[in-house]
Amino acid sequence: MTSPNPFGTLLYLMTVVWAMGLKIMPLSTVIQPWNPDWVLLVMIYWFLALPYRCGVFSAWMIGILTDVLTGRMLGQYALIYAVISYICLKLYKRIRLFPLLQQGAFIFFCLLFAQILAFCIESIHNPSRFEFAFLFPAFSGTLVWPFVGVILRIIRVRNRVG
Amino acid sequence: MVIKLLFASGPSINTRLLVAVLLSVLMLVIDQHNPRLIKLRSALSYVVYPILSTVNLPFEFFSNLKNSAISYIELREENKRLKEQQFISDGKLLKFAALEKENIRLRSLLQSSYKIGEQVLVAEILSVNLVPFDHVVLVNKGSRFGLHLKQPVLDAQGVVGQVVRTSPLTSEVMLITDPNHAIPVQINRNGLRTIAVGTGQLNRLILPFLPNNADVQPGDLLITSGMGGTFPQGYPVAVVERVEAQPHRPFALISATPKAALDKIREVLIVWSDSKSVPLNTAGSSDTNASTDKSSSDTTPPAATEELLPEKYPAVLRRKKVFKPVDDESSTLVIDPEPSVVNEPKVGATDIMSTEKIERSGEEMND
Repeated sequence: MTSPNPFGTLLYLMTVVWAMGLKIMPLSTVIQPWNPDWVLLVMIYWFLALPYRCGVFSAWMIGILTDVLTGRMLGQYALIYAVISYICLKLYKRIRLFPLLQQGAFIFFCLLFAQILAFCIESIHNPSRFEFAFLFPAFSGTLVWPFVGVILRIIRVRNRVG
Repeated sequence: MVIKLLFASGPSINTRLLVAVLLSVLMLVIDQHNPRLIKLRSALSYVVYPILSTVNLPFEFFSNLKNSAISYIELREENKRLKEQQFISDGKLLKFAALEKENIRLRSLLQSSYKIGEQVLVAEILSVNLVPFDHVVLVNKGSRFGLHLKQPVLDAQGVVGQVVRTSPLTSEVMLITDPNHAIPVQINRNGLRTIAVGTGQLNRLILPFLPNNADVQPGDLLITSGMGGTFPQGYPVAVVERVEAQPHRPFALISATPKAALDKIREVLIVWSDSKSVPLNTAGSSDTNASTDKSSSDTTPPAATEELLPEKYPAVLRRKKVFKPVDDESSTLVIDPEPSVVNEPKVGATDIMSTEKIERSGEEMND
């Protein structure tokens, strides 16, 4: 057995930074509402793959950075990511054994929950009507999940992060 | 070597979640009610700035590539066109100077004050998209350049929006079409005042508070009314596009198209409107000078406006760094809005309206 990479945490952070870049990528106005929450997707992968490396607190820190990056109220994404990380870390043993479809369903509910939470927190700040378009990122996120999972798995195995 | 603990040590995951949730809720509450977290936010903004600039990089690269790959003929044609354009604008500005002079004189007759001294800073919009449903853009100038909240932002055609948050290196600008944005306007033709509200579409504003019998026609120009104090008076905002009376409702259905090309702009002008105004009795020219700039109150020769303007106006639109006064002593261009905030020399900042004109007008009044 090869020894795991000591820079594993660094790799985790690098993929998250990469996801933050994708999150604020400028797209045309048609596609923009469908841009999934890449940061959350990447973090869910790491929660499920390496639950002992990344905890609730690291998710919270990344959430605060995402708040600053996207200009939200401080604490919005921090709260969401912390809650999602808790769910993932509680259930990761089961999720790993799930077949692909069930795993997809779990991811979908995580993303949906995150979107709804985000909407609730934002409507404290400026009350607005709920529109179905707020949930688009959850659908698109579920669709891109297999690719994200495969790519991150390749990165993880190549760099022997364990 | 990572040790995989069979029995986790430290606080349990439930405790950690509780702490994280409590911290976030606390921060949310504090952030909503007072600006105590601004320091934390600006510190963290340095951390995320590399991400922003990296995302912006390819788009900047392509636009640079496009600029450098432009052909000689195109360049020559563009140059010719711009020269013509500038010739026309200069002509208009000459008239503007005369009108401003007249305005000051008339206002002094009415014993009312006249505001002067707006200065601008050119900022570039970063190619990033923060959140899908808000019309908020990021510009590459921040509080290090003296930007502050509620500053008006313009482009060459009209009002773009206002600054809603600043960090040291970048600022967020809310566009006038954001659903949460409203701007006090008046109709240029008859001075009717109302409010233009954003719709969430980049090419549409609505005027929801005008009665059915209001004197509005398609094609009317809406300018800022100066009410509310955020936007200085007189900048074009939008053109009325459609007016539809609703007999069964108290208000008419009126929509307008913003003058600024909100979907295309790459560069914007950030405006400092000077809160000081010309004192009431502008009879003494030294009075006027003292209110604007002390350094050149007496040395200023009455320079011809026609000579100054053509050189001055391009300085506003020039992107590159150094701001050059037209001639060293006589030009009193920069009225520093907030010297305490500015840490660096403000680059590219000039004012649109020259103080010389006011000086001259004062002297003429003496005559």
